Amino acid sequence: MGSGSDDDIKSIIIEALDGNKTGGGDIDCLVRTKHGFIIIEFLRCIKIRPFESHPNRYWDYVPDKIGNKNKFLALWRLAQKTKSKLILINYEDSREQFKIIEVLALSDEKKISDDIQTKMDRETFHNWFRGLV
Amino acid sequence: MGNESKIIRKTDDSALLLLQEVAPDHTDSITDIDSYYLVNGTYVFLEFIHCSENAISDIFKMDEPSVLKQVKNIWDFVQLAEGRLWLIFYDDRKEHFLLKQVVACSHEKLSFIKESVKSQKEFKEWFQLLNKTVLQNNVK
Repeated sequence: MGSGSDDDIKSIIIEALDGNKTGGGDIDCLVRTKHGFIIIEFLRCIKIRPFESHPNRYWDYVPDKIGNKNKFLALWRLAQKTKSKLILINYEDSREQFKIIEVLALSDEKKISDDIQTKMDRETFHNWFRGLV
Repeated sequence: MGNESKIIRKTDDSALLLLQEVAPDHTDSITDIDSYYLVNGTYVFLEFIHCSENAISDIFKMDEPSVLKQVKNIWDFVQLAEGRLWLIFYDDRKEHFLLKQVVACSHEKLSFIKESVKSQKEFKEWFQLLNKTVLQNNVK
């Protein structure tokens, strides 16, 4: 008995939805610290490298009618409700660049209007992440 | 959750892979949330738990420390969200699903307020009703 694998769970949800759209979301990573919870969303960068990419650049981008902004709005609302930090992490397959974006203000109209961005290499990122807990 | 929604697709698990690379071994402080919904202003969280043999009989082992540790962090987060937490136990056959709504969770014990066993068809209906309620609220 244990947590289901992501693929397993996605399969169950996809099958249960029967082709319908979902009104729900998920959380990639929830970290418990002595100061409270941190909600982390990993953002894989493919065309634009992590240091240059930012959710505001693709806020309204709607491939397959998927509204990118809705995920961020939902996570921000949940972070506010639970008094958690919301951190977005830009990463790439090569693991050369990482950008940590701590969201401080976010709204539908103003997008992410205040944040703290920190650029890291692989080793710095690993150390930073391990230092969270 | 927002005004629009999406169709979930299987994607590569690159984020999960990254998390596995960087997360310290044997930590209880890091988890994920399988699925959450904002239903009529209340958050509903779903945590799927895989059972090795049979979702219905394996359930008696759920006070295992590993399950408790896994659920405790999520439960504390759910409390902050003033939400509800459903554990959904399933096995490889996925013929039946055991749904349990958590009412309390300590390091020693889980307590439930509601539970039901659903066939695959019944689970699908339950899940679709939950999802439909969220989507209807979003277009209001």
